[in-house]
Amino acid sequence: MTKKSNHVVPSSSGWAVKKSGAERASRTFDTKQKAVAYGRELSRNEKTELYIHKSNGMIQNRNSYGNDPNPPKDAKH
Amino acid sequence: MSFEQSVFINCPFDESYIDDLLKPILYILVKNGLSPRLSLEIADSGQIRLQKIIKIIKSCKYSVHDLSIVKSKKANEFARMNMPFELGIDYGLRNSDLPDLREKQFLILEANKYDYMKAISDINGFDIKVHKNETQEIFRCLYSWLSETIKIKKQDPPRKIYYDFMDFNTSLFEEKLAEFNSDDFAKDYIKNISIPEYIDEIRERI
Repeated sequence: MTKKSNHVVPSSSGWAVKKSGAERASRTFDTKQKAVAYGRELSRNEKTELYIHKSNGMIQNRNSYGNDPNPPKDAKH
Repeated sequence: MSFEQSVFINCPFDESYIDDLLKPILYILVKNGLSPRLSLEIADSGQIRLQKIIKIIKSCKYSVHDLSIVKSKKANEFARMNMPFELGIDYGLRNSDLPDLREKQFLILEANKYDYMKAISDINGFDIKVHKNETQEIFRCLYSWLSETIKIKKQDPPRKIYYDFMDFNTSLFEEKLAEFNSDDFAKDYIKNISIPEYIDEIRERI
């Protein structure tokens, strides 16, 4: 089964990390920076991908910690 | 596209507006079984632009008119008048006694509450909602309008649709990543996709 990616997304109280397709966030944070740090740690542990979204919902960056045939550089955000 | 399902979108086409507000509006409308119609559809045709806009307006039961840029932001910048002008055409058609057109219903959007009172106070009493130029707010505006005016029942809540929208963008990105084998190319494709193509991509994934 394909592992679900993690997503850093805006939330009503700041920023959150949620699984792909999930209706609720795993954790929420007051800043995007903290959400990204948590998302990175989580994705490393789960060996999956982390998508960092902009506040408009578009993708800002993708970081892969899984078995990615085309791993991106750990891009700045 | 039937008259009953078509929604004319009268809005700015600045890059930031397209990314922050128009793309979410398109997603929400398509998700609710509606067909967005925009003047962009006619960009490269030989017909007179205004005549084609009028043709689109006549073919739509619903309209979304965004008046958020009728106020200039800095000195020597012109306020943009196309949006209120097309709202006026739409309003005139609604009151023309032409068959069907009296059923037309509008959503009017503005960035800040009561800005419209300073620019175009004649529309006082219309259904006017405030998006603050924020993506999350546009989900709330459309949710309310679809519920109150179009009477769509049992919609998903705004936050769920917002998260679905992000999942849609991820899905589109992943497809283009597989196609181009490059994050930058995938992002560039999505940034530059035409609005009709973007609507098609939404329809394929709903």
